[in-house]
Amino acid sequence: MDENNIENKNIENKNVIDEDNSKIEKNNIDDNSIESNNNNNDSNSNDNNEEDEINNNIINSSNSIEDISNYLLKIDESSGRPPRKYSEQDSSNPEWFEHKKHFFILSSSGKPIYSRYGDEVALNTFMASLSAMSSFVESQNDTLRHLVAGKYQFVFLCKYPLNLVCISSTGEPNQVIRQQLEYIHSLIISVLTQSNMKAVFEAKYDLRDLLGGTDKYLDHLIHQLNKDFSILLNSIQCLRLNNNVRNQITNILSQYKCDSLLFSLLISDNKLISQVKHKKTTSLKSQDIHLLMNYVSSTASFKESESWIPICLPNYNDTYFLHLYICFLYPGVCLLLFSNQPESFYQLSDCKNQIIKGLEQENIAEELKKAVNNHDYTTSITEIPNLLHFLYKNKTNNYSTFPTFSPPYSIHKKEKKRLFRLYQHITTHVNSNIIANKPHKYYYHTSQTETIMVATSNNHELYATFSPLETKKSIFESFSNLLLWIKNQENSLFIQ
Amino acid sequence: MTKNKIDLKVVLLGYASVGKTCIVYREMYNQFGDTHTTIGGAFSSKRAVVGDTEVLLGIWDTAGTERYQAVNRSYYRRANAAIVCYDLTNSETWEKVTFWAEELTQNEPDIEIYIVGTKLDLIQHGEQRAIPNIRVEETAKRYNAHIFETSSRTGENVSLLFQTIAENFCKKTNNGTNLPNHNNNNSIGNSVKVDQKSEKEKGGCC
Repeated sequence: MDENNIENKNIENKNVIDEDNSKIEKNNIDDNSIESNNNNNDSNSNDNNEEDEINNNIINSSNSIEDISNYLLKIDESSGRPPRKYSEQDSSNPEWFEHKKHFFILSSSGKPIYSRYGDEVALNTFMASLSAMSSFVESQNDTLRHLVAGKYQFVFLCKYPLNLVCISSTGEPNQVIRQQLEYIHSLIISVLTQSNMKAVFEAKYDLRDLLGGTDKYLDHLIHQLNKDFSILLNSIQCLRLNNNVRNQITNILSQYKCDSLLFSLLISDNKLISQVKHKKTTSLKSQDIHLLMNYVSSTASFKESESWIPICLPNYNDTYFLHLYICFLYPGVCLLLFSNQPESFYQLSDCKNQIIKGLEQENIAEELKKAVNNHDYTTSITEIPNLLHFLYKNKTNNYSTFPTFSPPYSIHKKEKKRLFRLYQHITTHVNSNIIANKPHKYYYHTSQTETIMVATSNNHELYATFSPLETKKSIFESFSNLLLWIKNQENSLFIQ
Repeated sequence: MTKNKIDLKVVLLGYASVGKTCIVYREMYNQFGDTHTTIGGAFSSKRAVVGDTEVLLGIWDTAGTERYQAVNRSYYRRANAAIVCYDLTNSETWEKVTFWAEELTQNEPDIEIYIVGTKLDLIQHGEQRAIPNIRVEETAKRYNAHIFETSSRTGENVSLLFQTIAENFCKKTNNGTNLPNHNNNNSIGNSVKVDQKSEKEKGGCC
């Protein structure tokens, strides 16, 4: 690409910014409240308000949006991945504005890189105005974090050389959306590495050339961010597995290795079965593991052959690529081996064969396959009356567990989403006790639809959802019984 | 007499979305369907039989996207054959053929190159050929490459391609001891082969 071209484009961008700014004003975004680092007036609206807001959003949303999102949900469940839809839309279509949650990635100079809906090139003008907003604040030596415009909230994450923006009408807390933007940023790093990205940007190349095919991982990740409890809790979910079987698997993983092997991981969908660190390095962070799981679950071809891919783990080292061997050992059981040598594929392939041999002895493979099919559980397994749902995070190792949805939440998708959004607000509230600078110890939320009780300690966080008709006394009792049940099950719920 | 067993490493290279993964799917599973952008490389293996020799084909399917270009080197290293693909209907994809052929001859002089035009069924349904045959033949001659045209949709020529790769490789290893000699001489030998092949192909598709 020649530089003239780029310059021309930039000039175009600038022209367009003016046009678009006037458009925005017409769209009644006059009453926006800009929040920056300097005036830190976090809105402290209480829970009921927020909940009403969520309900209102659901009720107010026009039918077409519901249709679209229902349709999307259907597609997601049938194929496991939303197709690249709406690519024909852009900011000149009214339909485009009806999507509830937009994500944009643009370069620091305002060039479009990705849009969740619509074609990013056609959205050039729109992205330029987003870029203008953040650079306006930047020019005053400040950072734009979020702004509110009518029912939309804009959340910005500026990490040179990328700007990430989320515009949503879902009423999620800013902190949660910021976390989602950070995940998206990390995904881009995992594809390019931070150093490559800077070099490419500074050489004025179009980053999109290097990101070809990344769309589907971004789409899939965004979808996952909107429903994954373990990501919400900054944690990893483990496959429920008998402790002895898990130990045997871990032994096998640590036994079969080669010189260049750094980590061995065994996963099942978005659940961790076992992980082994072979060298004296830092452990894998939960964000990196989620990125890996996202790669595996959004690439159908991994199921058919052994794969060997370069990948950067942003929280491990964002400057270079590791080499990742991926192979499905059984349906739903995927082995990941990390090496620092680009030539070690065949050695790792041998490791895999030995690992399979090891698993096949003593029936471990059978136990593992059974566990994969029996992982899901509902609250009924706890035998605690009127317990509707719960989230538990073990803070010492960042592992979490939660049941699948049961009635009343499993009946309607909207209810699942509503509970998810409610948890988003509650986790944010619990963890943002600014005065004490540590999480609230107890938290009690009650509404027409459910009562949620939260307790946190140095070792755990437990969010338990009960029927709204329960008395406080019985909830307290059930809550301690639930804690007891989890303690008893710890051996199989978490990697020890 | 016991069967000889030999390993044959084949690597697929070429521009993004020319249909490299589809060729592998057709060869491995005799299927055609939606595939997704490959990341990094995928390895699959298959047994082929040539005379009394059992050939273990190790097929490396690589990513066509530009960001993996540098990494692709680690996939073609020590490969015996390279399938360099381009889309018969898309001239943009042809540039990468010369790029890879050049790079392969530089770094792996012993590698056999197969230039494969994909999506033959589209041509048969009346789409324009983006690259004139004469240009393909010139390039093939320059790099001692074989020419194939395949359709993963119909399966045409896909197994023939892999069978030919296996047969040529067996010939080469059976003449094994004088491998370097063979290489020096094969400029003539191969260009004859190329002509035969291209004639065969022309017969098949017109």
